[in-house]
Amino acid sequence: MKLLDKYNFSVKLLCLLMLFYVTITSAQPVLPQRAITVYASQKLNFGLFYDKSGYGGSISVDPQGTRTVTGGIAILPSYPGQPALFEIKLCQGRSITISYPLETTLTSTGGAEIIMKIGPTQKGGNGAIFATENNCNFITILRVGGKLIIPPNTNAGVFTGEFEIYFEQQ
Amino acid sequence: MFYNVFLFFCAITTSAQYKEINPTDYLTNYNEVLITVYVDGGYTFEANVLITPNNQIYLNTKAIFKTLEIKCISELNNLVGFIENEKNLYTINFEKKRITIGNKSINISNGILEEFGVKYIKASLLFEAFGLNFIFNPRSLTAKLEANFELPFIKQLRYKQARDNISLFLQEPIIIDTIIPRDYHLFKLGTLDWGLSSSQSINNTSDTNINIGFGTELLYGEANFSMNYKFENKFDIKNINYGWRWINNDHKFIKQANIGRISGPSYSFANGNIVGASINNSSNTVRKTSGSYMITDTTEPNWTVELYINDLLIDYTQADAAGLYVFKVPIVYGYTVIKLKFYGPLGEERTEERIKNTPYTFIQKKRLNYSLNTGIVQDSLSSRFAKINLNYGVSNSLSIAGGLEYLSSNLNQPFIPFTKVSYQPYSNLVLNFEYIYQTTLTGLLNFNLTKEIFVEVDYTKNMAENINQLGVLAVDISTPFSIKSFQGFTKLNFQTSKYPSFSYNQFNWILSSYIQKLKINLNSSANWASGNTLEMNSNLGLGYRMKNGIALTSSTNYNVNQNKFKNIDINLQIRILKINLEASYQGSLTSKYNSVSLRANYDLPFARAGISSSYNGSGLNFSERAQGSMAFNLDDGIVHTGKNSALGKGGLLLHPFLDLNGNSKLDKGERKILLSAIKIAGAKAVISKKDSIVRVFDLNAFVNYTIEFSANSLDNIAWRYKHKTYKILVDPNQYKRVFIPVISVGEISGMVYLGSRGQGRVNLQILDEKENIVVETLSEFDGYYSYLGLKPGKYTVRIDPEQLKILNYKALPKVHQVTIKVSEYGDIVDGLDFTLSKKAPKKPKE
Repeated sequence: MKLLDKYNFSVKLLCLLMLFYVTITSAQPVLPQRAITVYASQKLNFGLFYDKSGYGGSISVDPQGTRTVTGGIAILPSYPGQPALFEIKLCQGRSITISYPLETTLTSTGGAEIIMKIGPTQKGGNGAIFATENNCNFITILRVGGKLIIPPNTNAGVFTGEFEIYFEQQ
Repeated sequence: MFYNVFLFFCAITTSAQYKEINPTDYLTNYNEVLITVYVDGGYTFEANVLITPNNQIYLNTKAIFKTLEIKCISELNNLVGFIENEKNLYTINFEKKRITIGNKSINISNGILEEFGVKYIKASLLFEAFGLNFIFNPRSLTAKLEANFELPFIKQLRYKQARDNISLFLQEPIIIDTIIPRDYHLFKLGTLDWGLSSSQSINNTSDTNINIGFGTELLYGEANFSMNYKFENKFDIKNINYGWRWINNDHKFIKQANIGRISGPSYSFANGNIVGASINNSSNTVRKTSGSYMITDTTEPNWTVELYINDLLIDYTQADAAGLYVFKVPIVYGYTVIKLKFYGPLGEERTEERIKNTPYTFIQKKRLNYSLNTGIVQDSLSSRFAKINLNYGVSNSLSIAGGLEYLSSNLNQPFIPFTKVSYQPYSNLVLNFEYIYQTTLTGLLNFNLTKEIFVEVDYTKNMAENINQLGVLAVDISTPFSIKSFQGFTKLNFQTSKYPSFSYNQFNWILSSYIQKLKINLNSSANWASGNTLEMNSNLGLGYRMKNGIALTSSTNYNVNQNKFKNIDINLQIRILKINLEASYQGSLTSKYNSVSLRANYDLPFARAGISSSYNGSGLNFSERAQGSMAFNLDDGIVHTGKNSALGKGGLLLHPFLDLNGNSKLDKGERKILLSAIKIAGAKAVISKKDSIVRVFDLNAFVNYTIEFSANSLDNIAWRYKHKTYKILVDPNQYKRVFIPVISVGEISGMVYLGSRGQGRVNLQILDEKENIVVETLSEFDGYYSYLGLKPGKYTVRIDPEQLKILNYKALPKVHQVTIKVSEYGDIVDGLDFTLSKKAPKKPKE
């Protein structure tokens, strides 16, 4: 694959967890209007959930915004999840390759840690390629999900973390 | 129904100026009978009436009016008062034999009788005069009372019932006879929490976790230290949690103080715990305003959820098949902390407490509440944090607040001012506005459209430069419903988040219902971003509980876009020999993920233990855990063990004892006694046969609990509680010792004779050494009287001098001097007889 005008950037996401409430917010990148523009608009939000038996499990939010749990994790519908939303504008080039690390670590104010697996995105998993309109005024909205691995006996608390996602213009 | 019928064979011709019949007729034609009177609303009372041979009844008007709480005052030979309202005055003139009520005057000369000083009026005349219709049934010796106005007696009962409901809500009875305040200690042990858990997976990863917590009373406040440590991780000081808390609702300026990790909403995001101090002047008691709002959430299916406001149990409910529960939360004055506790259907208890943010803070009229928080943030910069919040009650329905928050690491804007208005124009409508300088503007509306339909509208406008989201609008509508035999609860939620170039919209619909024992929960949601596909999915949960206690729940998720079921979850619970067994299967219908797990939980008296194993495609996992607590009372040498956390809690050790010398202290020679029951709101009491101590545990510190004792709980008829209702303030991390004195009372008995025959309805008075009337009692129809309930001491027993005067009788002897001795099972003095005789007429002066 030939790389044209390779431009990598990272979007740092900030994760909050309040009583097992995970919400991912973003700091706005200040980017010059070049070939590609990406805004991290919406936080990845796992909603409110809890470990009903203390044996741990997982909770994931897919790009469609559906939450799925495994193990002893139970969700609270009053606080639904949301996928992360990215606004993408591409003025040059044909397509974009998405890449990201497998996981990132969220830490609570009390020092506890949980692992967040990044992805998949609406366009596929790590390494997925997708095309956008070459119109600078056309915005492609990309949905990104994630999965939290909750270890046994995780204490409730506010967890924070960051992850990087790369958009590579071809 | 107990009733007593007797004939009064006594020809007493006292001041019988109203006597309509001669003594012979009276003896043969009238019976005095105790009847039961039924009143609308399910109330009853008993009344003595005279019955004629043709089943006409005559009523003791004064006694009836007293029972019905109709104002009735004796004035010479009249009874005066009012009916229904103060303008409707009446007079019963026994001399003129007339009842005057308003402009109406009724002749009662043909319907009035007097018997042993008591005046009776014919029931039909009472109906004519007062609208009180006594419909007498001679077969059952009952009467139904119908009134053409609301009887004051019914009105009072209605008010009392309403007040009782309020006091039940506030966990506070109307009458408290003993208040036990806090015991303050510089240092006193204490409580201990412990927990151990471990998990292993087949790929050799393991995880071991230890929790330890220690609670004590220190410097007159509650001090807690706890630590959570994972063996696989390095020790971090952040793993230690500590705090000191002090509450005194009687203090004028500072009612609550905290040192250690402090909490509270912060508008400038601080990435770390805040260690410092906070003070405020809000009491932790609950005073309700007129409004309410609704919270809906989920726990495990069929679990019972308790709602606490400021540590007081307010309400409880049961979750549905998908664990959905709904609470109507009353709005209370002051800063409010809402906690929820969860209890499983098989006896499990989860002590997890979810603290909910309350959207409103209402302050009582013309009161100013403040809170001041300051500390250091445990971040890499050790940022300094401070926040002051002032809240003033303009009226009982309007509160305004303002304050300032400071965070040193916010270099651009270290000071953030904020202001807030909470307004309740009507009891069913609450509005809340909050402005955080250059950050957000929030508006919240809570509206009870009807008694059942609840609407919440929440709008937030973001003004911070570094936030891409412009604003969020959320609308919630929830209501219970009933369509024929189909009942349930439904909730609609719509939320739209506005961004510069698009909007993200979410719609959620929850339907919860049941068909006989089958509980159903349907949760459907849809979301779409501008220009994006509408994403829809639905989750169906079913729950069924069999008679043998086996609970089966299942759920499945259906993706509408893909027209596919995505996953299925089946769970089976059963309790065998105090062991809660749970088997579950989770399977994905779109991937190869499958998981089977088995769990067993067992509650020991001193701990809760459990094991779990699960298998999914990636391997086998095991997990083990145990947790428990201890509470110490060194005064009694008692160590109480439990399975729930004891940190920050308190308990009571009640010592009921026979207080022979009446000094309320357990002295040498006095013994503890075993109770059969006590009543305490919001807590569980355990009565020990071993040491007769009543243990009450898992109580919230700094909270008043009301304990009621009933005489039925004592196993000797002569024993009485010195105080029946206690309000006890629970000390933090302490098992408070409270002595409950029980006294042994004596009994007196005797006969009243008129000539050689026993005489009923004679009023006997028992006076103490200071000649105060302790109690009055009437002799039975055969002249026998008795009274049980006299504390040890000296008493005088006499016949009511007023009654003797009216009847122109004298008693022999005039009085009996009695001494009730101290006795474990109660002293008995009998043979206190009186003989009545007519006074000799005074000789006319010559």
